[in-house]
Amino acid sequence: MNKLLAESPWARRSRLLATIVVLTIATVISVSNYVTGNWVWATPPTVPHQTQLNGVKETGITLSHWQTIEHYAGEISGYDWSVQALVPNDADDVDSEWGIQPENPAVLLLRPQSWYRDMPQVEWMDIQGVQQWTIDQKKQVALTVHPLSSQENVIDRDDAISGAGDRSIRVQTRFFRGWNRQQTYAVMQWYAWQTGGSPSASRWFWVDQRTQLRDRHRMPWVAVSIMVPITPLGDSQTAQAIAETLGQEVQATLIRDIFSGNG
Amino acid sequence: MIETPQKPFSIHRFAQHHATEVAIAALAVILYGPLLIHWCDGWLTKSISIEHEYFSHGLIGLPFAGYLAWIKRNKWQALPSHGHLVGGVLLITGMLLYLSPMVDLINLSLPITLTGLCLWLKGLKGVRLMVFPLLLVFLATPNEIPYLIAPYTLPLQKFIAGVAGFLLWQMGMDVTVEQIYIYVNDRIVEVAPYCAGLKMLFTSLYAGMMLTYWTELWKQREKVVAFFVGIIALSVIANIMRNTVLTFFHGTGRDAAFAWFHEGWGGDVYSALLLGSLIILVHQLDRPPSPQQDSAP
Repeated sequence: MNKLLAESPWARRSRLLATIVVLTIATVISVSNYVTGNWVWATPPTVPHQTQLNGVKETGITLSHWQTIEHYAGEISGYDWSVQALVPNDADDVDSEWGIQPENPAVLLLRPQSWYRDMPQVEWMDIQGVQQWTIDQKKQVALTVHPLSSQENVIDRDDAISGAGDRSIRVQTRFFRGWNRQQTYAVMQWYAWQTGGSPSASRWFWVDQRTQLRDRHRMPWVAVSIMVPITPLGDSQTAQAIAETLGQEVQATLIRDIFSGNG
Repeated sequence: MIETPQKPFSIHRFAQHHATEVAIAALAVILYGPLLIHWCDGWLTKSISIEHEYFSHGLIGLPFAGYLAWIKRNKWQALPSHGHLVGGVLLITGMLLYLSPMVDLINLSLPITLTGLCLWLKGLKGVRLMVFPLLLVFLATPNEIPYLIAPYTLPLQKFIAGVAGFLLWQMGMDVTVEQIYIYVNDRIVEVAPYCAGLKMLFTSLYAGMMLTYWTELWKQREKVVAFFVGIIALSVIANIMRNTVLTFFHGTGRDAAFAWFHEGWGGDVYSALLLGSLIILVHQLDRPPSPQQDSAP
């Protein structure tokens, strides 16, 4: 009965021939790898701007509206983080309103990608663990970031890429209140990359996959955690506006200084 | 002394009859040999990424798949040569993925190409014959899925951290558990997804699948369900024990013992014991109620 279904010897032969032709084409295209050793799996995708990313750990980033009063490299769950204590430049009017003072500064935590296999993991959990925070008042906050226009002093400096200036990008962040026995913070966190940002590692993952497929390199990322001090067990809402402004500036600065440089 | 005219004749016949098969096999080896070497080397020397290491069960699964395909070769030959067009599409897709610049897509091209070949050369009957070896290859193909599911294992991590913390507290230690962190004597142990036994669970399920096939347990559906529920329970319990012991070592400053159990051969002994207990489990399930009615060949 099966015989009836079987095709003619001619069809069978051409089927086998087609198989060999397809396999042979692929073999011919890739066989030079045997000589050069340039197998895709032997040449991992590079991380652009690795020098700048490494620099973040050592010096942090320079913001134009915030002054860094202290910087050091700290370790959280085995990873190196840049820790920056920040106060606003025009301190007078902001201080009284927000209570951000040199003895009670805002804190910016940054963890840049350290090598090509370094992917976002459980950074938010790590920070929560090290701060021993109780977390509540959780919500998602979207930021609209203008890569250049938020930095007035940059526009004339970076003429070459000013064409990209009017292209704003959207960044998703998680915003919540984190408190322990000593301190209460309004916290904003996200993974930043050149074309966007999200608190979800899987969002970065798919952007990274697309970048690898198209440009054959990885999409470098920096984990950002902004901590704005608020009154003990106060409403995180009161600090949302300042967290958003700071968040926009951090993302814009990362795009300008870290994700766009050479190397 | 006695001339055997058959012999050169049979080689000739073999070449004639199997030339195309031999050519296809040779091309497949040229294409995928280096990739398989890369996988095995990566699994053995742990030079492959953490996500791809989750698939190290391929070290036993891939040879087993090859063996199964080989013992099915006569049945394969006997199948009518009635290919399916979708097989051709899969074959071409597989080759395009192979030529892509991404390791994960190249990896994925292996099971797709093999399935495509079965479908293209022998149709659905060919796939049905080879479905288990193909499944073994597919589930041993390194990909990024462990990275994507890691966030969803958080409840399991918290559960394991909680129970391990409770056990240590019962032993009279000063323990605090926060989320997935266990604090003992000012030292922290993080129950990471990898540590939470996701890798061991993958390996156990894969080995369980092979045992189910080997012992023909798959013919009794309830027992298969019981077996896999057992596997999951076993690996979760084993991981609670493992994390308790690790936290105990770390918290009490026994760093050498921690390293031995965490990265050293102590971890391998643990894995071997867990896999060994799977064999006992399948044996228990396979034995009691109805004696096998197998007609010995």
